[in-house]
Amino acid sequence: MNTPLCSHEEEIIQAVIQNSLSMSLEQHLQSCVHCRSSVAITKNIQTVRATALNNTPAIPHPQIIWLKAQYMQKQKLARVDLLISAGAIFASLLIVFLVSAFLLPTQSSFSLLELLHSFKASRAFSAPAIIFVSAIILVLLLGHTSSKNMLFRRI
Amino acid sequence: MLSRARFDELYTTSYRQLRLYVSKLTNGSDNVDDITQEAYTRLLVSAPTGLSDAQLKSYLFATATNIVRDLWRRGTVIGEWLPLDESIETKDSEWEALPLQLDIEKVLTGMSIMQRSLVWLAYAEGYAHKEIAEILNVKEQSVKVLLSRARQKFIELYRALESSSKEGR
Repeated sequence: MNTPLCSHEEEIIQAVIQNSLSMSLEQHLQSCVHCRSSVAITKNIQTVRATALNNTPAIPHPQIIWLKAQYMQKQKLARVDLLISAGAIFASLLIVFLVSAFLLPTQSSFSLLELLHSFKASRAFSAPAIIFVSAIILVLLLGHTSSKNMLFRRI
Repeated sequence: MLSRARFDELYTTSYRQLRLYVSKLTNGSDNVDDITQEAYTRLLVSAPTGLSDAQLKSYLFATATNIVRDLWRRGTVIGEWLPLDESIETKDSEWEALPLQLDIEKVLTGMSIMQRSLVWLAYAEGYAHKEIAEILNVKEQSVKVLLSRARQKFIELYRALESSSKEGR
């Protein structure tokens, strides 16, 4: 693929924009058709740019964008918080289920209905088991609350 | 997130440039201000920490380009994104047109959105090929090829406009 770009082009464009063409670049321009064209394009576009920048309407106050970004950031963090909450609830339920299943008498075949039925019948909800499960849920909820506070403190 | 003082400074120094870039990309659509402001909002919400001022400015141009691309996909921004223009011969042609003879806006309008972006970033904002590659999310070598074609297209459109204006006299 033919790409006749001169290796000096970038340097020359920068120099034209900053109005600081050195002698060596001036000499290069004498012999390089490509760079002369680039200078012409740059000068044309720079003229258009300068005119357009002067005609730009008044800039809106940055406070509007700042407040919008704050709101979006809070929404983003709220979504993260929702995910953490859902995860904590799921983990709590899973632990309750597993602990209960562990404390129940061994079943020959697993059935959720039988398991729930045996919940009522058995003495799985003995005091130590309830204390153990409650402690786990408490730890999870405390962990969740502290992570929530930590996230919102970052705003 | 950026500090308020740093954001205000960046906003004040770059808003006009970014708005003009968006205006060129979208051919001055009604969404120019919305796109520009959305780019700043995304910068505040999503920009990685520790970027220099120049990197933040590049991030803004990249974000604005992505927003325009999304709107173009939805049909809100009209125009072609990137015709390959493989038929364009990338030859070295002498072009030393006199400034202000013709309406450059018309020349830019005849180009694809990507070509306008390349030409504006290179010749108006003075970004190096490597920086343009980062802004447009393409390889540096691709920028050289694409810019070479966009440049050639610019010259051809300019010449066509020049000859039509001469015939009109």
